[in-house]
Amino acid sequence: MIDLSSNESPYPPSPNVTEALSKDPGNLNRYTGVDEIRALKQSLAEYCGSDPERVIPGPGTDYLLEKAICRMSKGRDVVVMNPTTLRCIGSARYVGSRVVRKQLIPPAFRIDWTAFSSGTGLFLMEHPNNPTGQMLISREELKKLLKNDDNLVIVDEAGYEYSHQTFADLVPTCPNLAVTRTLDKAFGLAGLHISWMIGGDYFLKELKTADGPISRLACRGALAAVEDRTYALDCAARTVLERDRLAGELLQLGMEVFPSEANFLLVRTEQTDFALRLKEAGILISDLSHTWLPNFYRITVGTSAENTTLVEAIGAF
Amino acid sequence: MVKIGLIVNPRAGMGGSVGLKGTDGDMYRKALSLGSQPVAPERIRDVLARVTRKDLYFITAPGMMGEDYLKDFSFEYRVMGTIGRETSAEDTKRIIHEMIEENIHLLTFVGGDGTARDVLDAVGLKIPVIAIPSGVKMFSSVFTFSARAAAEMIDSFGDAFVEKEVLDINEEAFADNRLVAKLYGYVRVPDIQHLLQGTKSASDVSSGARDNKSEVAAYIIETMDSETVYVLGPGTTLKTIADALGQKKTLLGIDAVLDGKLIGEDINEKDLLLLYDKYKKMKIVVTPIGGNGFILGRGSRQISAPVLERVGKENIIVVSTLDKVGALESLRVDTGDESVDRALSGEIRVVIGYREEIAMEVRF
Repeated sequence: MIDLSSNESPYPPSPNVTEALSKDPGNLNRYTGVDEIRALKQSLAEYCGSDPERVIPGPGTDYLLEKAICRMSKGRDVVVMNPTTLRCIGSARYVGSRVVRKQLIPPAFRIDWTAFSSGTGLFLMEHPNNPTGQMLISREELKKLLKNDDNLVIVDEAGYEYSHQTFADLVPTCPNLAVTRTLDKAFGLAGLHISWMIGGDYFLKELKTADGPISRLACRGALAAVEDRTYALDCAARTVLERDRLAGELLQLGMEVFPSEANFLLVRTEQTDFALRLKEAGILISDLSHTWLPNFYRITVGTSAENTTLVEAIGAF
Repeated sequence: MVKIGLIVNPRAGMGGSVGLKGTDGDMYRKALSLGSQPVAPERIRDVLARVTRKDLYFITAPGMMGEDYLKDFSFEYRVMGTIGRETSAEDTKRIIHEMIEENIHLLTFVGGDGTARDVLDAVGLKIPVIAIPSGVKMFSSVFTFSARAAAEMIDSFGDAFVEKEVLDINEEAFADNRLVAKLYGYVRVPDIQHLLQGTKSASDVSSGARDNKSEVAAYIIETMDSETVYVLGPGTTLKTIADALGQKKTLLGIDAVLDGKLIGEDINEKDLLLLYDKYKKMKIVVTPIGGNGFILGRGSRQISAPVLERVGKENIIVVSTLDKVGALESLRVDTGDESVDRALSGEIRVVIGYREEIAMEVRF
């Protein structure tokens, strides 16, 4: 089965990671040491050009977002897009916050952010947006949103290595902004599930003690992966090339393909049972029809061979 | 010139404002006895006033089935067939057959699901149609969104057509608050999808959806004010609220609740206005129709433009499950009064769970 449904990297992690993980792990009867976490923070900070004191690592982005919701959303609306792939928003109910979804409408998926500038919200946004693939907010729009000190904004940049667009540089001067990144995607480490937050001052105050439980093996693998970042960025560049080729070929097959800056494509097709027929052909994609508009699908970009198989399968329908 | 047939069911929609589920059979007389006024004439006049295309030649039925309205405008037209004092489905079918013999390019009709079935019987897939909504029940996907959409379709249709469903609503079940629909057949309509309302889909009755409705009900009840009248529109989501209050609710009718107690069952426009005058504080709770997103103007004509003018957009609460509302690009209103529709347009929050909302755009 070719799995193009979960936005994982189709490539294995750096050989450095395999090597690091195959060494004697030692001391598995002990918790991960403070020094190891400190080294990880230092490495992640160096990679994204941030102050290590602003880095909060955790076991996956949803863990970090859930902490933020639980500790910082009281009295605020938790604002997310619809559809969203964030699984943490259900936590809002436990602190009495209201969840407000904003329906995304094709083809532009534009949001009128000015409508939110006077409210009090904890905004969770993905940049590029998942599953639509575009940037939903500009730098200027974000700055305006942040001007209201009661607003808190977390921008998830899981797709940074594909888009090369970031708001992390705004964090030191915007206390109400945080950016999250992950090694799940371009670094090929979804199985280790390491993410981190680069937090503005308000986030640091509330979440400084929220460092997630990261295992010694995960920590070691993460350090090795970040050390060989060139490998990950090369993988991301190959994915971007493949993404553009795949988009062109799907267009030629008569599908509607939306612009993407991520490692996936949002497509629309009227073909009946599209995802089911692909599954029968041995290919999994993500069917968004159940939670969003009908006939929309998200296809993760695979290897060149996987993408070719996908195109051939659709062509044979 | 483009030859267009025009046929109006003058009874269509008359049951809505007096709380009837249609105007078929005896319900037409009941609607008359309750003081209901025809709504189809106003609807077709609204459409004709918006049409700007100059190459149209209408073939129409006599009197209140078409001629009465066209004569007020400057279109070229010819009258065909005969009708008695009271019109019937047979009149509709017979006159359409005569129009087909006159080689009309397209047939425009005004009515609801019942009229759509009569039209289908007469034209099949031979002649494309433009269906102007004016019924109480408009569950078929053939209908345009509104009078404006119908006019735009008349102005812009070309030679591309798609087949759309006509549904057969079980009238007995409908009168008994159950929606039982089956596919009756297909007609061809101009392929301008964004002007069509889409088929109403049956509400999801899976356990997940039911649980979600319970959450919605809990949230709405928790925020209820004891001095405000809550008008509960049709639909299973609204029935869940009444169930949670321990009150009876008509599934397809309009009911009113005050301080947790039912004070109006299956009420009509007049009742709503009286309740408003008496209590002054009123909130209207409605749910979108799955598939086309109408929150007002389809299946709840009792919540009329005058009622909405008094209550105001800020007192309209929209509730839904995420799977239903998430599948919609926007919500829709078609109250028959453009100024009210305009006031209702723009963003509105839809309650989809306990303390969970989705911001949707309302279009008209």
